[in-house]
Amino acid sequence: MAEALPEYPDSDFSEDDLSPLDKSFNQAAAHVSKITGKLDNNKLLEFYGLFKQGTVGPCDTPKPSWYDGKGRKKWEAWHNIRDMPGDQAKEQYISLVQKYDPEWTIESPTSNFGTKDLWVAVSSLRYSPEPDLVHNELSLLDAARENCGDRVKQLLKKNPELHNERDEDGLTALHWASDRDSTEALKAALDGGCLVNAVDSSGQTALHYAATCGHIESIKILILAGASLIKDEDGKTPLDLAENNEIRKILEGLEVD
Amino acid sequence: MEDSKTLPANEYENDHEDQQKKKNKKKRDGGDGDQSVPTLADGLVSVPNSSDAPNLSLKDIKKAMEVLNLHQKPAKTTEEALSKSYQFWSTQPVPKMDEKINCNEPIEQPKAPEEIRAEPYTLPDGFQWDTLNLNEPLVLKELYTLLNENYVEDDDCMFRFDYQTEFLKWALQPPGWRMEWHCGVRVVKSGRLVGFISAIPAHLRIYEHVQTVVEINFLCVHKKLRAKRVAPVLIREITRRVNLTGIFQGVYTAGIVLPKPVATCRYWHRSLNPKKLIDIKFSHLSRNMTMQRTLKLFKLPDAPRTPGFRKMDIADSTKVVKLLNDYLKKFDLAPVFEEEEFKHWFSPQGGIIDSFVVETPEGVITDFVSYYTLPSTVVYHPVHKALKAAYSFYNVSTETPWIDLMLDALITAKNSGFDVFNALDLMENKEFLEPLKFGIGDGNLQYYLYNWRCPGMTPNRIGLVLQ
Repeated sequence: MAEALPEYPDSDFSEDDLSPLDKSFNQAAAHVSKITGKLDNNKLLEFYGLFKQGTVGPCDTPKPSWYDGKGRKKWEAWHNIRDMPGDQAKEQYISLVQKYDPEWTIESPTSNFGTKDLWVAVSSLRYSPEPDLVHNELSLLDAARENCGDRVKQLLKKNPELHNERDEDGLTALHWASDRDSTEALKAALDGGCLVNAVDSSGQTALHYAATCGHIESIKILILAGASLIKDEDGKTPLDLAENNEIRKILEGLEVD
Repeated sequence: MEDSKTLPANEYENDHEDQQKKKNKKKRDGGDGDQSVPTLADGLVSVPNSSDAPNLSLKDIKKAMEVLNLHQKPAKTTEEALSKSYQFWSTQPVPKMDEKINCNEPIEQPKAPEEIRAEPYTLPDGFQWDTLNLNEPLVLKELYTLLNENYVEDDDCMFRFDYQTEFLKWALQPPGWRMEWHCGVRVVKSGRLVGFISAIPAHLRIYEHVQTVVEINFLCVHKKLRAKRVAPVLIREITRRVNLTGIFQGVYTAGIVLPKPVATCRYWHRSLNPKKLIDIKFSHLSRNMTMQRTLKLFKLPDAPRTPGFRKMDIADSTKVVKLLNDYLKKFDLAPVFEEEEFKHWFSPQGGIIDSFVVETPEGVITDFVSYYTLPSTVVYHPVHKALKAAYSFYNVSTETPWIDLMLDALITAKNSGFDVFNALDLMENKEFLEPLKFGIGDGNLQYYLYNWRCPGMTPNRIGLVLQ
């Protein structure tokens, strides 16, 4: 039915009626054309992609052929962000101008980013942000949860005893990494000597966590590292707790311990 | 009942300075509406009027200047609203923000027909009124598109209501609906639909008084048109069209604070599909909580457990409308349903409205649960495009305890593929919200009456839910 609707011209709205975002975006685009000399090709490509996404929408042209190197790069810059909403592309464009040329300011200050009219809002669960974590102060379990593979590797190398570190519920680094599908950290923890079948205080292995949560990548990593189907204190194996059939299939081949 | 629909503070668009300050701000400020009051530490600022001018001190002038510089965006809290000046709302029959009210009565007397403006209000050049015929599929689709693209955005645009076309017909064509109350604005040249407001008739009991009112809803102005101040014209025009039929009172809800809320309610959310809700940042996993425990926490039984719990049938209407109307007498602000209206609002329709009853072996209906379907678009997510939400509508418990009844409702919603079940903290909902693991939402929903003045109410005195 949508196809049957008329296409309305943007001339429905004169410049006066442009949204604050569009006004700022137009200014930003005008500014970029003045500073192209100062920008390297990568930056220009970034601007190009965002500009096309913001003004035209998702890339719908065929990929230029191999001998048109420049055309291909431009096409890729646009095509790579084809799922980004137009307004978001415009906002990113404006903040990039501000980043590359901090001197630049929006002249008629009517930008009102994102926070449009709050007459109506979709309520979502209230959230109080937690304090930021400092990467090089993360504990092993924190690093596992936050998927900081380097930090996990570094800590286990410095102190191999840490491989059996647990929280108050008996979760190891592997449990936390599996729970969050933190695959880099999971691999680093396994490489660093964490025991793949370690159980928490309810008898669950990391594989129980990954299976319950439906984290396929983590499940595959754990299986490669030799995880087996262990029963928890309720008598359930990871297979019993699998979130969906795809996971059940992967786990069915495993040996029951 | 939707959330927050809203009437606009027209005074919204002006402030440039404020927007400049906000230009780099795009963070989610903790989500709690009450915490996000950014400004107005000065509290109340009085603006001297011109008759006081000879006595103006330098300080007064400075204060007046401050008022001009106030952040003219919609107020989200009462404190914020107290210090705003409402250019538009001060011309309307609504109570002042600081008014103390001890009566229950109209603000203005009904107008005689000759006192009501006969011709439509004037729109800015290039725009014209158009009454929408929603029985025309193409027109309905135009309204759908306007609302979908412009109706709602939460603070950082993560979710937008996605009212479905059939839902709009349900919400806008109850018994007694009038086409002229589906009031559109089009661009003259192209015919594009760029504005809308609606009214539907209802009977509303306010304390002891039953009043014929309209429910005002779906006020929407195309985002590129917001600077034209079309919203106040839409409100005046729908008021005029409603007045012409002899109705002079209205009820509406909004996320923002305007003069003057009769109650402030809050949404609560019960996760049915916690993993997806966390993925799309509708909810958040705190650091010390595992996903594994979260999934366990929100797991529900496979099927409803209350004996006699079943889908409502249209043949139950006579019994259930009586049950519901009797129950709603408990509250200070509640609709009174005719049987035809009840059938319209509560006959189960897939993807729009679900209703269930509990029936005893003797055929007595003792309890009733209903919820409507309102998905949201997930504005930017690589995998998930839509959030399927059920909104608690009207529920009655006389025999089945609230927790058992609503648990069964949650189970039916989960089994129908909903991701989340939402409920306001009104009626007796507080009985079950926390026990059934609802979490508090991040914004208020204000209830308003137009041309009526009555003492304010706490949420548990409210028995009215709008779409």
